[in-house]
Amino acid sequence: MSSEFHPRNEEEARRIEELKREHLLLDHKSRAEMNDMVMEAVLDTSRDWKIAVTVLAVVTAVSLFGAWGYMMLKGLGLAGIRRPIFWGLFIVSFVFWIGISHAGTFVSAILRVFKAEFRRPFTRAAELMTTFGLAAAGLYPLVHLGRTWRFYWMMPYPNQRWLWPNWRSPLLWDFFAINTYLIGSTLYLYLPLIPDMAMARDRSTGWRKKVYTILALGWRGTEQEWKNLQKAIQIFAWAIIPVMFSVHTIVSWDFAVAMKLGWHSTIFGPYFIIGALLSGIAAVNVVLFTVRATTKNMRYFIRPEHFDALGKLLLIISLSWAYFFFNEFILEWYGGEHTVKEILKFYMFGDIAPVWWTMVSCNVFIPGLFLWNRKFRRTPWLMFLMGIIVNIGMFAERYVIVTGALSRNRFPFDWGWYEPRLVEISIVFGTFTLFLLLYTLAARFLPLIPVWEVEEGQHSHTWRRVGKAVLPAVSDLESLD
Amino acid sequence: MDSAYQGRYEPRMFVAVFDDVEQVPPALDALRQVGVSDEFIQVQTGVPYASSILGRPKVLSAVPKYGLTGAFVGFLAGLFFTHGTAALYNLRVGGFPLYSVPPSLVLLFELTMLGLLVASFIGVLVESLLPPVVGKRVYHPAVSDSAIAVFFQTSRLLADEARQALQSLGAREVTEVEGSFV
Repeated sequence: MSSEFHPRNEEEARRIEELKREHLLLDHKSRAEMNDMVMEAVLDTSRDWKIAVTVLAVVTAVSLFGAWGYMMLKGLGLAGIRRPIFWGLFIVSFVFWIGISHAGTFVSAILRVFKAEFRRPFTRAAELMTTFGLAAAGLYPLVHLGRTWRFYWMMPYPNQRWLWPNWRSPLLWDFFAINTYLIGSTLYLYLPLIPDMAMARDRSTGWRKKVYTILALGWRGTEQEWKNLQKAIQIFAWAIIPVMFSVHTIVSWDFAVAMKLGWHSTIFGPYFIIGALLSGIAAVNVVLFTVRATTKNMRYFIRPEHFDALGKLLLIISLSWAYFFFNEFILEWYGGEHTVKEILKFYMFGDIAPVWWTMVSCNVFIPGLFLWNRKFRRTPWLMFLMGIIVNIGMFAERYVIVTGALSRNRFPFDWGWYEPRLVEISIVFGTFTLFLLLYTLAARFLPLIPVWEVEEGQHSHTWRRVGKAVLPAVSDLESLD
Repeated sequence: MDSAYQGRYEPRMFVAVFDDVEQVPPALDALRQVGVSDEFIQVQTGVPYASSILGRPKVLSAVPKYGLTGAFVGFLAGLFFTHGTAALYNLRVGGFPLYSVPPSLVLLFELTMLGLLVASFIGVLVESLLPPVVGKRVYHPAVSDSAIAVFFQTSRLLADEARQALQSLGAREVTEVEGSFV
């Protein structure tokens, strides 16, 4: 699409250059050039990358699968969960990873629905987080079962006496919600990937060409194909949002439907969702910085403007989290229920207080202190650091909710203290390396940048002159029929 | 009918490749003037262009119908799981209803949405005929580099006229190709 714009003087030329440096969608490159850049990144399986993959694979095998196998052999007693704390690090990590998985959908679907143009280069990087985050989360119900081989009891089919699973159980709700979200988000990742797979097919050789040919499904870019794809992406973008909300609401109901003080709260659904978005958006910053730093040509696609936009989102969500947290906390405090007061006292001044204060500091104080600053938001490594800090805070939040509330019950004889054991720490560490391994592999196999979406965005962005000023102008090409 | 005569009138497939979308609408008009109607033209692009940009007949998609059907099937599956199975094996527990609506809503919602999403995906594949099952379909690899390929079917008799018109409007190449639209 021709987007020729001739500056009238040096001042205008300088202004245009400045804006181009700032905004990817104004800094036009030819599609062939962008394809080359993305494929160069995909094909760059250097020695360092191979070493990283090998190390991650070995650590994951030992730390996750080794420890899990050992625990299956010896029994769940190896874990630190004891009466009255029967949910420990496994459930903490399960909730944490479900939270991480929310970022992909949030960034991709919600920003797509609202036509936020800055989303274009990093939707796929975020969607991959959803799929791999769910893969990591999905392991925990199996790990936590202890007798993992009995997992099929949750499958929706009757036993030999024709007795079906209990559909009213939150465990079964989890099963259906997580699987719906996993299937939905994987299809949502795959749909916009099809045209890029066709691009990769046209530009690769050997085994890669064969695999890309299969994954491209014979895509040619006809009018009918584009129309069907766009319609489906539209349906997915709208439909995956309530699914995303339902997943974390149902995870929160695992706690809230229990008649347990500290858990039995009507605000838990939205409180968990906002927490998930907070950790998810923070994790997108971490992933984007890492991809930008370790993958070729990514500095062109991922720019400070993207960290700036994500920083603003992070600040808004951090404030929202603070609002929900305050609502939950203050009403319970003023409720005056003796046991609840004991729980809150335990959070703030008890043995778990360092974790609780870490949560409050990392989720509210630190983001609130720094994310107001534009310069901070536009510095990628600082946003990476902020992403790590917020995620430490969110892990701490889940730790407090899961193990802290269980430590204090109505009768003091039923109080306890949870200390995670080596096998639990090892499994949790292993899922982090599993996530990194899957992401590292995907980064060298899938085009991380949706090139056609970036090009579509560049077509929509042009220049216009208002009086003596030159401004970027955006045309809504997507809504044309 | 001799073979030379037959050859001139036999429909053949051609492709014209353009670098800029602005060149395409006049090129399509030129093809129509030569006598190639829209049903014998297929445009392949590297990014989605609306029909109104290209000046082509409006393209409709049946994908939403697949989605709705899938949602309905998912809802029925949910009803079967939550209410049907309760009827299949009656477990009467004092104080609890056999059919409980509030906890059923979770499953009904999840299965309805699952049906909607999976069926929409299947809809894309079926409606776009992906992956191709038989025959060779026309394609130009320059499309993934954002070139715009206009495939058209016409007789050799009209091909020269079409070629000249398209080249004068900026076509990078106009060549004869093997294959079909679908």
